[in-house]
Amino acid sequence: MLELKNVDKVYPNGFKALNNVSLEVKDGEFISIIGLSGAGKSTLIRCINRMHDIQGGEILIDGVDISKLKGKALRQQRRSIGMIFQSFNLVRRSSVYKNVLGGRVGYHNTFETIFGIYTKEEKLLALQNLDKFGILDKAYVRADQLSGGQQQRVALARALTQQPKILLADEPVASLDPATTIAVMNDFTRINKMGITIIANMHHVDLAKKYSTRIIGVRAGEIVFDGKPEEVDDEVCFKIYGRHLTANENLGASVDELPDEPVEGKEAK
Amino acid sequence: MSAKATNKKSPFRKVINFFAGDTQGMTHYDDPVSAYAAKPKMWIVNLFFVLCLILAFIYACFVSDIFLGNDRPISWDLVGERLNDFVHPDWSYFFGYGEYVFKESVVYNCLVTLGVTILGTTIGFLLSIPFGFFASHKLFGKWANICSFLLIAIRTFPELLLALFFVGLAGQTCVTALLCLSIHSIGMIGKLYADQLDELDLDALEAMDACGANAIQRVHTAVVPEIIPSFLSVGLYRFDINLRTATMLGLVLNQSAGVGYSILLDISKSAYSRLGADTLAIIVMIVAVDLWSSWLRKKLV
Repeated sequence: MLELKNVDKVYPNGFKALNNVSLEVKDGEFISIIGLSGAGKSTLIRCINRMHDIQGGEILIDGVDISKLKGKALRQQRRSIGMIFQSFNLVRRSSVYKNVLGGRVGYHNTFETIFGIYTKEEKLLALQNLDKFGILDKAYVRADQLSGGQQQRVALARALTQQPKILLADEPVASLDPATTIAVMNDFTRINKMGITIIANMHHVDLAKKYSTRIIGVRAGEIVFDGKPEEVDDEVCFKIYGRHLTANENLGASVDELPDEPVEGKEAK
Repeated sequence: MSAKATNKKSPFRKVINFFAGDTQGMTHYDDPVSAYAAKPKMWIVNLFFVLCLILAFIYACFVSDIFLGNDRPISWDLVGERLNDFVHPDWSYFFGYGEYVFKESVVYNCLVTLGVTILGTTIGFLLSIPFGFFASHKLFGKWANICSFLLIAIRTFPELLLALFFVGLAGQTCVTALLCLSIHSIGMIGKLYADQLDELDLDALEAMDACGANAIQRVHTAVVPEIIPSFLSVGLYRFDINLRTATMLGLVLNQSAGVGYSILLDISKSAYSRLGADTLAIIVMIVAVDLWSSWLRKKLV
């Protein structure tokens, strides 16, 4: 269980990005965070695994306050939280396989990482995770040879190889085309069904409504809405965005038209 | 001018804004016409620098007495004779047979030069990796200043000057050539490495942080694979340059440091057919290494 209590975040330039944010996340939820650019969505996500330090409040993961952890304890806590980025953040010149194995470095010491000492189970786990997303064939291809959707799946496989309890996703589909977006969102649903909590920043409101089990609206560093996807109507959107939705905030008709099954991917075994 | 500043500006900033435009975006323009009036006037600065260059050129012509001419007339007969010797290289000297033993030959001297270059570049290449990492501002922040200052200090001395310093330390031998090449390489390669690390897109570092990697693990997993090809390419390029330097180092060192010294000897003895042999060997060696290293660098990137 993840719990945020009165979290404040102030950037060094004095900008207050999060203001007294409190939030409780149960295991197995699929949460979408929506809001305008600059509202504090990314900051909120990055505070949870402490890519950003917070200035006030507590962030409890299964009772442990991550904002107080240091050094090794922090790194051990981080390995149980996977993270997905908008620009995939893969090591471009390394192979897909090496990228995915990178998810295991938190479980090894420096010596073992440098000499590439991983157990056979770990290596198989990496390949199994690639298989789950249907990109096993690309295992020994350089990461920068893949398409955007495939790269995001490599990032998903890397995060899964960490064997995380929580998966954070910062605008995971913002740089993908609509068809690939649907496929990757279906992958997220599958990961969620494995029992992993997902917290994702979403730019498209209709995507958030279709895929998540709970939606959180952020405006100017504060949570202004917290509820079920069905409850998100025009009025709620007006509260979150300060205006009515534009076409920009919806992916469009393609959300309903496209099949639920991943377009390029393969079903989980 | 109706463009008015929204904040108090120093006179110095005003002068910069006049020439370069307000690059800070702190000026409010009422309308396009006033913005047009405040457009950058860089052409004044450019014109000033071009005028400076022309003046410097004219000055240089006068102080170097370039118009006064040479007081020693050229003897064309002698030139012809030496040129004839030059294009008929002394092959027994080249390959080391007949009156010459192999150890005196051009081929042997070239191999020595090549060996000195390979060793010096390898040592410099390996030592400059830590220097480059510690001089990278992106990886080490303000601590990088210490190392980058050290690199600048090394680069201050030209190779020949370094060689002269080390003559006092190791004599006119190939050890001096090695020291000189490797230390100067550290200054040059280290700087290039630091620049390359700073230019690197470090998205993947963020991802490794999120995976729970420690400082060394994140650099090893996310930075090393991205940087290896360009590091090797820089090392090869430096090998190219070092070969030329090693040839030149013969000017201050003795026979044991390679082919450069032979040239000095040939000229002082007016042995132009031997000079021809040495020159030919150097040209062949440098062209071959140049072609090889550019072919390999293309493969790397």
